[in-house]
Amino acid sequence: MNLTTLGIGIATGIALGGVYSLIGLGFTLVVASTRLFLFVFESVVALGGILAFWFLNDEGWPLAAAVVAICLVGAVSGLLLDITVHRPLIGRVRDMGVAVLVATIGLSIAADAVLSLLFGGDPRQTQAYVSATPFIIAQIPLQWSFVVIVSVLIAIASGFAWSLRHTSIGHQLVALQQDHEGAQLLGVRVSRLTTGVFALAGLLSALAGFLITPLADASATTGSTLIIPAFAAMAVGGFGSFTGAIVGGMVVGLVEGIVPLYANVNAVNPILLGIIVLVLLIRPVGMFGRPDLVREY
Amino acid sequence: MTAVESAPAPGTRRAFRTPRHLTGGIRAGLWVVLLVLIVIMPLFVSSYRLFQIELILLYVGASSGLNISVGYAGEMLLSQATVMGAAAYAGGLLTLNEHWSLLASLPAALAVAIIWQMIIGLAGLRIRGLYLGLVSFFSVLVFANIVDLLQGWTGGDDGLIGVQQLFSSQSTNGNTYSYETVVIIAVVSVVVASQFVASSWGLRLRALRDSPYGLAVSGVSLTRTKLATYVVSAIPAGLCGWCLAFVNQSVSPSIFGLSLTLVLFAGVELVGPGTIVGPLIGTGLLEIYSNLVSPFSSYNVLGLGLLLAVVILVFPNGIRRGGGRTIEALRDRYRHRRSPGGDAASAPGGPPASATAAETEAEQTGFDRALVLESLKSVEALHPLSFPTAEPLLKVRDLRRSFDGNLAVADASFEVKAGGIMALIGDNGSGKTTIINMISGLLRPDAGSVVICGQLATGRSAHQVSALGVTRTFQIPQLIGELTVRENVEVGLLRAHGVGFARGVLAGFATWKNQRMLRAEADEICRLLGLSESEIGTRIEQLPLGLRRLAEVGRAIATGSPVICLDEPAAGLNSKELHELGRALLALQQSNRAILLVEHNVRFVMGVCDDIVLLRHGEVVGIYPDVRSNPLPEELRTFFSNVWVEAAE
Repeated sequence: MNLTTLGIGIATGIALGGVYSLIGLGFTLVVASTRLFLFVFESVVALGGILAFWFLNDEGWPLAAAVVAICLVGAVSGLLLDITVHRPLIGRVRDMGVAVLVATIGLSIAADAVLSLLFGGDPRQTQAYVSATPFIIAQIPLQWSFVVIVSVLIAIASGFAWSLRHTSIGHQLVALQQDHEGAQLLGVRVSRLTTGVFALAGLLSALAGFLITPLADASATTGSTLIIPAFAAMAVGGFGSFTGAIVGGMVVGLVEGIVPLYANVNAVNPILLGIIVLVLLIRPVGMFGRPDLVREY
Repeated sequence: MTAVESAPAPGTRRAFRTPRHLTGGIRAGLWVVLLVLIVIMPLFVSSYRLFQIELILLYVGASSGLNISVGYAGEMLLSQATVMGAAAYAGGLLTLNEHWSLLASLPAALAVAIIWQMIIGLAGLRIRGLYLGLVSFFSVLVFANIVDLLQGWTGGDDGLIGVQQLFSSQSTNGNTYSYETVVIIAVVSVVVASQFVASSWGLRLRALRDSPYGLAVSGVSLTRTKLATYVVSAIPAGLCGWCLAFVNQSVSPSIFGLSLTLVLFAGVELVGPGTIVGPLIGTGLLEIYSNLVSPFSSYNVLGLGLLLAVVILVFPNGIRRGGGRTIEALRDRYRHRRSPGGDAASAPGGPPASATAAETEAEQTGFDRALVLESLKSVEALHPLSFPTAEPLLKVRDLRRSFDGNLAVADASFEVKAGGIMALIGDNGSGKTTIINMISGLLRPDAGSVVICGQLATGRSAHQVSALGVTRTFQIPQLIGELTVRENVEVGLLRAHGVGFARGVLAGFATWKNQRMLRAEADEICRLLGLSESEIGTRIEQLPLGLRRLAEVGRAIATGSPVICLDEPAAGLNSKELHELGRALLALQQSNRAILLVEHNVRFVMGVCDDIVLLRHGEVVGIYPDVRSNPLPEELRTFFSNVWVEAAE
């Protein structure tokens, strides 16, 4: 075991962490503004990968067109989710959180099944969006796609941070996250804003599904395998916190990148579970979590 | 017409319903027929179908365990599939490798199941909701990894092959014996779960789900309730998982993965979470469907997923509840047509109707002490508590608390004697509720102490503080919406009179005497509060705020605590309810209890209270004893007149 291997492990970990963070950001947007967990965004992640294969490999579209199309499809699916799952339940249900969770688990099972019927069950290698030839820093061969993933994450995260602080929509979003009813009383168009949040979350999920293609082949099950570490990331970082989603994503990514170098690959998940339990026992809301989202009483 | 009189009276509605004992009889009859059908199934079907039915029965049995945690207790412990898995592996390994007998391996498997559940549930002691769901969900993935890590022992991904059958299929009637054993295991699983919730634990679990604060301030430990939930929910899973190993004659990690988790969870949520039969029907339907379509086809998953989504969107509270609601609504429409004069406010589930809310507002201050005292003479007083009256029951010393640097309470000190009623008054944000939160142990003070009945309460958890002899009500009543007023009052009796864990698990059905006693006591307390027979039997979610507040006061009385803190008990009460509340408080006073109340209704405060503590910006401005006999001090007069002016505006 040498430093080069460790370096590759860390680089892979950071890239994986970037993808988990991106998926986590989509979930966090929705959790923070509506306190709801829409499991079905994992299918949107899978959809992103499958569309990438379809547009780039089958149809031979230019990269830019494919990215735009994938983002659009993601945004539209987020919008549809708001209309079909979120809105019909408002005001009709005792426990909105559970109802939405269960309904979207059902939807995502169905959506994955449809995807696998249409796309076939086998994972397929998507054409790379950047050169697959690694570049070398300090004897460590690095993938260009890692650089893309991390840069996109940094761009989106800083864009978020900036617009939350400096734009009117950002302020409204902060108000919505802190006090749903209060925001409504202040004249924030809550339902319109929520629709926007869903669309943005859908966009992020599809984009994450596209970006991961060099690391994981496109298939109907990609989303459901990625969502588990993304969940773990949010739990460690704290639900509803953007910082938490990113830090948690990195922690989980690094564990996944490094642990297999030294131990059985099957040890990854038990170690992650251990980390989650440990973090939550010390800080029940996760590292950066918002107490009001966890303690509902 | 007051809100009280317009509350739905179940008696009148029942007139249009088949008599209860009759429907109960029909229902019981149907279940017996179904059970007999299941038992005689081997006479009709092929051995392959029989095998499928065995699987369905075992999953249905296990779902009744998940229902305990998810449906009744509201603990999102989704590890049920892996608990089954742990028991299956224990059973399989012990019989195959260690050559234990089938019967000897059962208790061992059960123990393994419970221990595994506790390990996962450990995290649940501090977290709730989504977080617990996530951690336990994660355990489902980890299970397969652990099986892989212990490959040499468990056979890894390939699974454990060659596990024996329950009864050899070569022997005469072997298949039938096996099948009937499965039926027994499934029935026992359901019985264990049902009888646990039939005892007073059923109430305790629902209180944990819907009003954990209410449960804690009634002196019941949330942690112990959770632990009990985890253990009991693991029993059906353990039994059925153990049995599954011998039915499949193999154990493999893939069976106990995501899809079983989802089927069990969906089955519980689908029809009626928190009822006995709902999850049985739900899981049964899902399993029957997937066995008909063939479990491994994409269409099976597609159908299951869609079904789940559509059902939740149409009946977000579960089919049973949703369907029940629809029937109630129809019945109500029918009823209105029958009696055109019926007032609109009597719609079930209707919140405090707006028409009466206005009246309530107008009559809010109408509280007459003399009238209350007069009516009190006709009520047999509560059992008086004997306390050394010289020593105050509640002593608050230099209590201090800040939030993010803002001082909410600054060195507040006061005491309440036995037989005293003290009011905490002050503007919004002056720290009244914060003080009550610290007294009841829900909030830790930064400094200072609370002494209850001579014992230091500071530093203890809420239920321990409550056990010292203090309880409270909340500004937003913490009650179980789907249960009646009586049952909510019973929550207060749980600490002293609830049945023990072992009795609940082993002989829950035999605790009917205890149930009857709880009912009778709760009834008596409700009557003291002036609640009518029909109000006592009405679900909380159908009652206006005023009656909900009274129900909370009832729960507080039921705990038998000598110190009772009330957080704005009069807000939203109409004059009749105010009268009843005042009567209850004066009755409590006569029974030598100490009462501390936060209240804005000046007439009510002046009518009921002896002493007043005035707070401003977290500091005690003054303590004014005997406000009804002494002339009103200047500060109070200023404060009251401000309140009046604000009210007038």
